[in-house]
Amino acid sequence: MGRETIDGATVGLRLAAGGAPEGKVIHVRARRSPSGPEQNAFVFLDLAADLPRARYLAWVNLFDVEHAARRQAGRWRLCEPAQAETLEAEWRPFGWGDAAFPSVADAHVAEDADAI
Amino acid sequence: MTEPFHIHPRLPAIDGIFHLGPNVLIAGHAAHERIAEHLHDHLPHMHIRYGFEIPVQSFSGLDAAALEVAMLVKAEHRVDCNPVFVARGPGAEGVCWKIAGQDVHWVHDAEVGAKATRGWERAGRKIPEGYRFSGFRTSDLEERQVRRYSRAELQAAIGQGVRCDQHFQATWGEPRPEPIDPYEVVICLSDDASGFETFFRLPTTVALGAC
Repeated sequence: MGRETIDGATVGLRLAAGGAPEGKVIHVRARRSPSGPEQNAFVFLDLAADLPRARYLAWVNLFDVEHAARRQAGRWRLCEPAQAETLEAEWRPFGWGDAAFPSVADAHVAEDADAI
Repeated sequence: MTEPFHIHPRLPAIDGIFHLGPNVLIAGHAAHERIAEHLHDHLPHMHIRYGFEIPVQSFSGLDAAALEVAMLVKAEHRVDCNPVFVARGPGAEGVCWKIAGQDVHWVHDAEVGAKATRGWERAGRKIPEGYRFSGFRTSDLEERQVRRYSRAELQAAIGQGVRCDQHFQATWGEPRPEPIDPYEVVICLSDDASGFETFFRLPTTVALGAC
């Protein structure tokens, strides 16, 4: 873990209950360091901390953002066209705490949208 | 009347794609270097690989169809489909099969997973606890919309028959650093028009005499 430069494009937003962005789904366009995220990986950028924290997502394309928006209406929004950006973030490759996101894997096993 | 759309499962025939050797159907890998078309090389993942053959057929009565695949995987895993490969490209890359001039891609489809579940249970088989069928249909290149192929497009792509390899990659739905221990995967191949379906099992080690 450590501070990394992330070079990518925002393809989706995670929205707080009030509608303000609290996180970004970023498609990594270039690997900037050996310890940073890999090219073409999808990462989630948590904006809640002073220094944004980024981690891998198992997601692979825009379908996943759309799927998340269907699962949690009003909490996810697609960004089209994607917005290129380079930013500094605390890099946590495999996540932290109890953070959980909708994944395509739970598409038909969880009838309860809150049971993610 | 629509003729069934026949697809025959086979052992894979193209070795070396994603560094998978002969008769390796299931393999657990740690994160590794970037390989084009490999969706989860940056995460612990499990490869799922098989071959299939689509024999020459008339597609009588068929106007259009999307191909379908479902795989029985652990609930905490998500699976993504790679394009269908017809040859090995540079290094560990694969060369994609094309229909109507476009690489064949796949999009998640919960209806296909539910259909495979019904087909599995229709024969009295039970879904093991903690597992589910994850379903896909052929898609556009962006993997967002289902792509159905016309009879003419299918005939042009299949001709006198095609032989392909299919690769999937399972990874943790919520990324974790632990490797995925290889486990047996059941595959269901079908289409959305003819009612054809076939189930087959991918063991972690191919039985002697299977090839």
